[in-house]
Amino acid sequence: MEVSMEKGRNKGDGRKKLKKVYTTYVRPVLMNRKSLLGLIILTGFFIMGIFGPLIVPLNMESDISKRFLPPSKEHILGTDYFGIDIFAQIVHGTWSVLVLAFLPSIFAILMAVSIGITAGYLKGIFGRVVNGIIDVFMTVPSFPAMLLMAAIFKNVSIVFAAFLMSIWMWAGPAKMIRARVYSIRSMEFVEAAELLEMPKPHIIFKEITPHLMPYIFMQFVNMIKYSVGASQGLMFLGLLKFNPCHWGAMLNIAVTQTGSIYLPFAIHYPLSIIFFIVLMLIGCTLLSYGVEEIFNPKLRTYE
Amino acid sequence: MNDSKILRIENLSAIYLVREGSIKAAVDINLDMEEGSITAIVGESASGKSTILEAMTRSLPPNGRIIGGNVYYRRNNGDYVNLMEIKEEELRKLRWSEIALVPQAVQNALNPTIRVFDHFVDTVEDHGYNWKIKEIWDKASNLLDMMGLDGDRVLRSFPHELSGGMRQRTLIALSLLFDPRILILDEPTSALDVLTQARLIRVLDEIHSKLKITMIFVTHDLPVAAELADYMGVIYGGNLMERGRTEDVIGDPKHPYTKALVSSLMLVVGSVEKIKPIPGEPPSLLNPPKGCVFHPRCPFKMDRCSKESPPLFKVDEDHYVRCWLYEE
Amino acid sequence: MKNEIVMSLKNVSKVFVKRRFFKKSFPFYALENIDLNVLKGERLSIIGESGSGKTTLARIAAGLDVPTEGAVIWFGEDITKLKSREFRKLRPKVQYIHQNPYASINPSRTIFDVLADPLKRHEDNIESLEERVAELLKSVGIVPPEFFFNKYPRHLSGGGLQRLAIARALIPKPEIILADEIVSMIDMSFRAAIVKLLIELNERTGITIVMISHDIGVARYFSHNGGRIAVMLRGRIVEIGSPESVIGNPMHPYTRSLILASPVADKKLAIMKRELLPKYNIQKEVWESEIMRISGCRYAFFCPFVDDKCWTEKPKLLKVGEDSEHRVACHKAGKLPTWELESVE
Repeated sequence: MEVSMEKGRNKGDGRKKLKKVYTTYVRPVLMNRKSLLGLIILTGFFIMGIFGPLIVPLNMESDISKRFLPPSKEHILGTDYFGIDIFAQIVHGTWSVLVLAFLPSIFAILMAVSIGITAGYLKGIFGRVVNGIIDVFMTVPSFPAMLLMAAIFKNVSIVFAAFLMSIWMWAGPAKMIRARVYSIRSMEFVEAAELLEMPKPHIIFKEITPHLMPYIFMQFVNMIKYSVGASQGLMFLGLLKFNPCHWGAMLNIAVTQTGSIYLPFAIHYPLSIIFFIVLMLIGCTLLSYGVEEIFNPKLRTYE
Repeated sequence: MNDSKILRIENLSAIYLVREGSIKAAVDINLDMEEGSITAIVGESASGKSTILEAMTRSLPPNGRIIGGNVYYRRNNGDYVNLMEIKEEELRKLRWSEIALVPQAVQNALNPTIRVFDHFVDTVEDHGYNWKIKEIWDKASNLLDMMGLDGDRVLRSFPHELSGGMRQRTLIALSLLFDPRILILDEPTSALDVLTQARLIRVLDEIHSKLKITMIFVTHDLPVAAELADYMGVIYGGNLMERGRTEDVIGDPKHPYTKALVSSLMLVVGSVEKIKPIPGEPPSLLNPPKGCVFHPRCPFKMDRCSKESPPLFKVDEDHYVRCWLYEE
Repeated sequence: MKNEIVMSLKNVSKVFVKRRFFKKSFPFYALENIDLNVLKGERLSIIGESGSGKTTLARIAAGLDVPTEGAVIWFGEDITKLKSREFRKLRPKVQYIHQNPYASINPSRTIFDVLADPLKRHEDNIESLEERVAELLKSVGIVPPEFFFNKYPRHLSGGGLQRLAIARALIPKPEIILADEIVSMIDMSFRAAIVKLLIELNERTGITIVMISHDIGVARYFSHNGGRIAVMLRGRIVEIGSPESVIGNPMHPYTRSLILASPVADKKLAIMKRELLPKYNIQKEVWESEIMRISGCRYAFFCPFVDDKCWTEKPKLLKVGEDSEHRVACHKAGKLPTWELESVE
């Protein structure tokens, strides 16, 4: 590796930093086959969410004569109870699913990480107070709390709804993150950094956090799983703007309203929905393998 | 086959399979052990020395593979068996009853939830012997006494009540339960304080002379090997670099690595001025250097050394060196 | 003669109290009334077996732990009494290197970052960070430096990692370095090189280095030519002096046992030492609590020369004969037989 020995800042610096970001954060994900696959799957969903509705038309008029048609050239995944094309519904619901799965999870993980790390690293009474706050939130049952919030704040924007959901999702992961930080804190390289008087933010973000990242990402994936179900529940109870194409809503209709799981010829209806839900979760999990390698260089095989 | 050799390791090679490729942990190892002798296999960490033991007893981890060589063991009746070829069943019978292996890292070797005596009972049962409780107790107690321990007291104790040195000696007593002919020890002195170590060395010496047992031990501690062993094999980077009688290998080391190692020792006697550190880094077993594995650090390296790996040359009676300097 | 005292421990004790129901709780002294002066620019070795308290001593001296009682004095100031802001001014001057380099160096940061982070913190006006890092790597023998910039700690061997740890410890420009068993986890053929590195550092820059080890050979090599060796046993210093005194003419039976028990590469010598060992050390298993309960010498259980005074009266560190630098804590000092190894090379 050629190193620039010229004094002072030069044009190469910016490019070098970019290269470093690439090799540290991007390359491990691309080089690991599993995570590359995960990345492709999730990118596919994003494309489907953004561009899908432009390509695939959705006709929500019911035509009962076309009820429960099996997959065919005209209807790729067949039709549902109302004769509406399943694939079109799925495509149009993708964006809603993505937003209601990722947004609350992002809010919640940010809260869990910042509060969890603070609770784990701060010594003495501050640490205990923050820990107490985490405990309070943990004991409140999340779904009823969400119901309550949604009942109070009716008809809010999707972003605010995501935030309301996230309030009840961050506490459990925060506690586990705190425990992890607590154990890392006494490790020798943290002590070595303290000997060198490295500032606290440096220790927290550069020394401790990389060891937590895979853990954090796994929590993130769990949150996504939870959000899909929770948002579906809230939507169905009329507390979120009802979108019939949201996969959770679709699944609910398929299972409880149309009895399609009891009818062998209708099984393609719930199955296709489940397939897409599972596919998205698999994509997240696969991606986490690569994420692990970003933060745990030991696992990388190509260096 | 020479009749006094109880064990002959011939061209033994073993690798570990990992994601990045294969770790060449043992390359072409040739070593003979006389019956009743103490042989030390000396090497640093990741030199392959433990691999040799594992390969010999076929107890390699799941990603280990023996890729060549034979290990001939001479049984009581004079017959030779090739440990690499016999069936698993037969090997199991040999293990512990004729060839006993005392593993490294004593901490985890004993079950913390049962008493020491129960360990002996379990071992007896596992091997299908039908001894009575009193027989087991007497034999175990005697062995522990031989180790310098209070046999009856130790048998009644739990492992955590014993110190590290005591646990080590208990494991050795356990391994002697069936009067094996060969006792193999993996790093017996590694985790011990110097006084405990001295005691253990004395104990090993005593049981060797009392039981006339063949001993093989692997260590990274050259002075310990020098003190105990009759024969030594020096391993570096998975290769056997020098082997011979201890007084020859230590007193007049021929291989540049052995020479350098002996001069770099920080001992409590000897001239401090003469201590010479060895430059360089340990070799990668994943991608070993071409030619002689020591050549990057060798002060006597020649052109040939980076191209071809030397064979073992005989320099004296029972003294062999793997170095181009000694090609006659 | 280096006279100036840069660090001293005055009456330092570290006690843990084991509380037991229905039984009198007894205190466990990891360190007991330690008085130790560290002289400017010296190479001091502290040796002892596990349980001797040497790591506790090193950590307290380095300011990583607090003593239960006593004063830890750095450059004239008692750090146990300082407020954290004042302590932070002195902090960079005393550095500590851990035993396990695999744990003391963050595996997720590149080798460049391991040095660059503290460099940015401690040095202003760095013209070129790469140059400084390369310079540091070269000074500890990690070459070619640029090759290792974007590599991770796992690409270095144990010896390489310790060199990196040493380079890192030098960044705050310390005046004292405490090296706690830094070669214990490294292979034999690389140990001498690391110890030599520290010797050269001391000779070149005059930095004071305290080497903690369980290996007398390491202490002997490190402290030879002007240094001192202190021998610890169960929380107390039992002998201290130059290597020529402590190893050449040891006065404490424990020191003699340690020397006799240390392996040597000469079989005949080894056997001779082994025969002599029982003369200075009685082998027996004793519970820690029993040893700690007696008020006298901690070696009493194992000492062949023990008498009543040894059990009840704690021996003081006193001069041996004319040599004021050689001190020993033994009631029988001077009354032991002539040291048998005196004539051995």
